[in-house]
Amino acid sequence: MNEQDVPSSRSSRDSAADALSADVAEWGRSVRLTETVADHIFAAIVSAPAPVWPTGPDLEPEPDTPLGPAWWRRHSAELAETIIRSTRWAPAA
Amino acid sequence: MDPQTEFRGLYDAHRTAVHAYFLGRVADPGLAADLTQDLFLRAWQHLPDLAGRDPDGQRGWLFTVARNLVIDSGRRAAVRQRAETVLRAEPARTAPAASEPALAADRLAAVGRVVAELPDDQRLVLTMAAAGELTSAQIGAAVGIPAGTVRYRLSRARATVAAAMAADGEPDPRRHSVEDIHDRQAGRTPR
Repeated sequence: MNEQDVPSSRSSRDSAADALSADVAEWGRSVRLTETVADHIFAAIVSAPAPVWPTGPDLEPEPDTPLGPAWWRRHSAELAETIIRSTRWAPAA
Repeated sequence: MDPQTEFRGLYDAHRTAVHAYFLGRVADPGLAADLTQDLFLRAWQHLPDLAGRDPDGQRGWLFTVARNLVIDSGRRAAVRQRAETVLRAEPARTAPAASEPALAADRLAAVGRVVAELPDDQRLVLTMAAAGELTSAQIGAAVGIPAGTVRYRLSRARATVAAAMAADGEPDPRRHSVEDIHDRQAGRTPR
């Protein structure tokens, strides 16, 4: 093989590969969902009833009686006392 | 954020990739659109669960359900038979930018024919890369194979497409067959 042919041959191969990549990429764009179809699908889906957001199984269940300001004051005071007690220094016995 | 706005974000972020996955699996644009709608309807119904996930988590959920949808559909065999006729007749939906639009459209149709005839595993990764614009890592995560395997299959698919496209225009119609190209690649006598 003539050495001078090598760059030309490689260039030719590269050009063919580039052209193929461009063709495949163009084909990929051509088979994508069009905006019209995508919007149609979206509209069809959201016409179904909206999903219900659950409260989640790990959330504290709603109490039978509403938690009023008095409950929150008492709960906060008890919590603060628990925290203070747990961090208070106590002399070793 | 209201559910519809939340869902719009999810839909716009993943619909191209998901549709490319379905297209790669079933090779039928109409069925791929139907499956895309089925999938996102399920996503809409599970939106409270999906909304709390990051994009990777959402994609994982979507592709898991997508795989099941394709399997559950039970239509793969029939679809494979229909694929060639459907994709052969599928015209390019985007106007080619080339100065010779008819020639460019013919070339796109030829690519579509060759892709439709690829082995399933190669068609899937090539379609997800070309139509879904996904990276090898993203395809691997979605399909459940290593990224290196994806790259290998992509390379094989591109080689097959290149060989088939190079043979395009030859007088012998057998030269157009992807199966023949695979036979040659495997060192077998073409059928």
